[in-house]
Amino acid sequence: MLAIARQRMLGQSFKKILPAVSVLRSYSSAAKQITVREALNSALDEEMSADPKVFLMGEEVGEYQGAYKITKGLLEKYGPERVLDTPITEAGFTGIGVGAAYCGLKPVVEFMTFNFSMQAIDHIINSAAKSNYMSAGQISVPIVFRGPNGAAAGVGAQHSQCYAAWYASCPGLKVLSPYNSEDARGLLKAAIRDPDPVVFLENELLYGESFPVSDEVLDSSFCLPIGKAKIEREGKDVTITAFSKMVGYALKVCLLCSVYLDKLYVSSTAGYARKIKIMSLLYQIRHGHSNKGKKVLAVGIENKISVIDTPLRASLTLLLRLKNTFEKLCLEQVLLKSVKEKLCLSTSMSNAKQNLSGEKLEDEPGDSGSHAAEMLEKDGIYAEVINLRSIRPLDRSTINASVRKTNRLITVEEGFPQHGLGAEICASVVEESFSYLDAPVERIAGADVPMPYAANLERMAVPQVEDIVRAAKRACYRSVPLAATA
Amino acid sequence: MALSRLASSSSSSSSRSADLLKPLCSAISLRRPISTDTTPITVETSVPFTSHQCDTPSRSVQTNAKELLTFFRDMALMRRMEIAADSLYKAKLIRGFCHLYDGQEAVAVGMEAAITKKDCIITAYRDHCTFVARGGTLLEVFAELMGRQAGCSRGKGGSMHFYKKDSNFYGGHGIVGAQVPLGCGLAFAQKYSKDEAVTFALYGDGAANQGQLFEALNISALWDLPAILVCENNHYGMGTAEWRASKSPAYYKRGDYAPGLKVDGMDALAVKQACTFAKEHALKNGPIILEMDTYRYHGHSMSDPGSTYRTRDEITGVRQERDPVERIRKLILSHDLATEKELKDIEKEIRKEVDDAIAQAKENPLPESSELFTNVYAKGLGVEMSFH
Repeated sequence: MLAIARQRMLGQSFKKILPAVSVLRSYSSAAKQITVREALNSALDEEMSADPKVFLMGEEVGEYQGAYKITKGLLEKYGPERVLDTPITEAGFTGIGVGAAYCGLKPVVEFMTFNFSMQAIDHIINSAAKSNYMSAGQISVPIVFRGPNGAAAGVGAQHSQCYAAWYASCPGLKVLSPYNSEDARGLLKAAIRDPDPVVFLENELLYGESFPVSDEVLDSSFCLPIGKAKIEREGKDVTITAFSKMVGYALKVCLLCSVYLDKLYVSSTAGYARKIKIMSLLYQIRHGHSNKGKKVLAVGIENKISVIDTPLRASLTLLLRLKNTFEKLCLEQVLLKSVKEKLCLSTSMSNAKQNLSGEKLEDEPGDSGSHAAEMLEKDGIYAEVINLRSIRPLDRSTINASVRKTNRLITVEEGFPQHGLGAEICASVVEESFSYLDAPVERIAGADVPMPYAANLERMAVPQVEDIVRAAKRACYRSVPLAATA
Repeated sequence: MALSRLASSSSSSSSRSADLLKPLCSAISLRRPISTDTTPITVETSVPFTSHQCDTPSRSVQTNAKELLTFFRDMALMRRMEIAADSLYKAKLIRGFCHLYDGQEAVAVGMEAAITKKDCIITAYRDHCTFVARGGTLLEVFAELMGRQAGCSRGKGGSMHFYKKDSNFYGGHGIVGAQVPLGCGLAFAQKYSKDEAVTFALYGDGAANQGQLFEALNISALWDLPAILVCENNHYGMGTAEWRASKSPAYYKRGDYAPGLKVDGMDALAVKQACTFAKEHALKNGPIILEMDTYRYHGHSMSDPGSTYRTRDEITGVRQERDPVERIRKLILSHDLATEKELKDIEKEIRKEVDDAIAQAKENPLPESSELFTNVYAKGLGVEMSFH
């Protein structure tokens, strides 16, 4: 929006922003923070301590302390019989790991990145995933394949692919992907304890990030269920599904969207009859949209100005709909009808700007995040963010329940768009909740190109917060055309 | 038996032992119990062993009547079973892949005689006879081949996916060469758990060039795993002769730093001797390679006549000169451990056993429809639903 307006907003509604932030970040009263790296390390440590059959295998997991230091200290603690450095032979050591699992041990095989898992993919799929089925239950394979997955920073095409969709399509595998430290601990422990082959997709860029964890999470018996997604943030306008790093982006989107404005000035140059129409619409908004208890408090028309105390979202919903007279996106039948009325409102917007401060204000150039904030503040979208946690099995019931509540869906993933996770989630929602959808499902994914190296191209090849914001707006209003696709 | 031997002594080419046994036989008019006789007999292997980076075991093999007759019975059973499978395939009761092992029986049988059920075996897709050697029943074989409930994998695996975990038989593997790292993994687990047992990972001359084999061998040698890599060299990888596939077809030498032994794979006693030697070696010194020089009479699979890349003369030649069942039969006869008639009776019995098993398997039902979704996971979650 406008600088002064923003300041005023911040001043007035700081109290509203702050709770939004802390709600995002705290899980209980404990304030201990650990990095994802520490979470993974402690999970491995505890599971190895609890079960002597668990052992680690991979390149540089031992003396190097782990290529990304995830296995730091474990060689010293458990010795070279349980923490095994392998030569650079993925097919060989993965096969050995699977064979050891056939015989009842519980290997945790590390791939330095999942790009290298392609060298061993026959063993993951044909030797591990399918064995229990082909042997009718005789040969179970309690193995975990773990490592960083997806794009890092500037590592180029051969080191940046996301394998979630590939592994998740294979029956017999379980595929997990944590976002924060709690996820990392709980899901890795669940994976190690699980008697089936689990592909555990971490993210290099998240390793160093800290997240608060409760005492319950730090307890050695802590475990998360496989197959359950987590609603990271509740909302009501649009569902955003994501996993791993993209959960962080989606939450940022929410943060930007949740700002309230106390007052909005609406003026109309329309005739009296139309003013009455606006009034009735505003009353309907009052009854139809009450966000977080902030209802429409006063409606009045003074000369050409109506002063409304309302959650920003509601008023801007009205504004934009009245402005974009031929746009349809509408939740209530009543509002739909009025959209067809042509009312001139753009001047009223600028009048409003002037009225606030008497100065003419301009948009500030800023980072995409706050610019996105500005855009989304106007729209007042409350997105519900689902952290998938489990890619296979996919928690279809949580996703569908959320879509039935919000009626709109955006899927976010870093990987290639074709045949990706978004496609599966979209299909699932179309199959089970079609009549609840008010807008087409949108997929945000990486660009359909091998990952480029140059910083600007790389940035374009991976979803950014603005992309999610744009999609959220499109899903709610359809006022912004789809970005051009290659 | 004594009379027939006297009558045919002039034409028989039996060894000296027949002459020595003659007076004994004539003295005993009652049939002695042959199948449980464990008096040691020493037999020389057909050819000496050749080695790479290790000593060779002795050519003299200790055996006894019981063992030889068990060899005969088991190999004749396997032979009959595979030939019956051929007919079933042609009758379209077996579908998909069917890779037959007839000609190679000595490897399965000789190996089993040298080891215990604590030792693990993993092989590739030519696994019917190895499964039987590990204790699998004929019914389980035929039912699995025909995709029925009584099959060892309840009809869900097929010809290439026979398993018997309680005998430490880990399959049955469809991807060429993949079973070798898996076998080294089994050996790893045995060492980790201090089992004092070994793993035999079998593969063919076609698989011998697989990179993952060398990767696994490297790790096994580094970590001193009790892994025995057994190359069943039947000289043809599908339709490609070994000299066309391998720059160096001396597979027992391909381990380089790992010792190797070349064995006549058509001689069950030589196989047994080599496996005993290898087990001892692997428990002390880590991986060793055994190359079994063997031969398959059938083509690669049922869709391969087996004659486009080799001559019929070659096949009949091997059948006449080196057939493993015939070798044991001659051995038994020459040592007077049984009469020809007794051996023929055993074969008749086997034929009946096989026919009965086939009849039983044919009666057996196909799996229930609900079995489509079972065993995908050991611990299912009830979250995935079938698609309507």
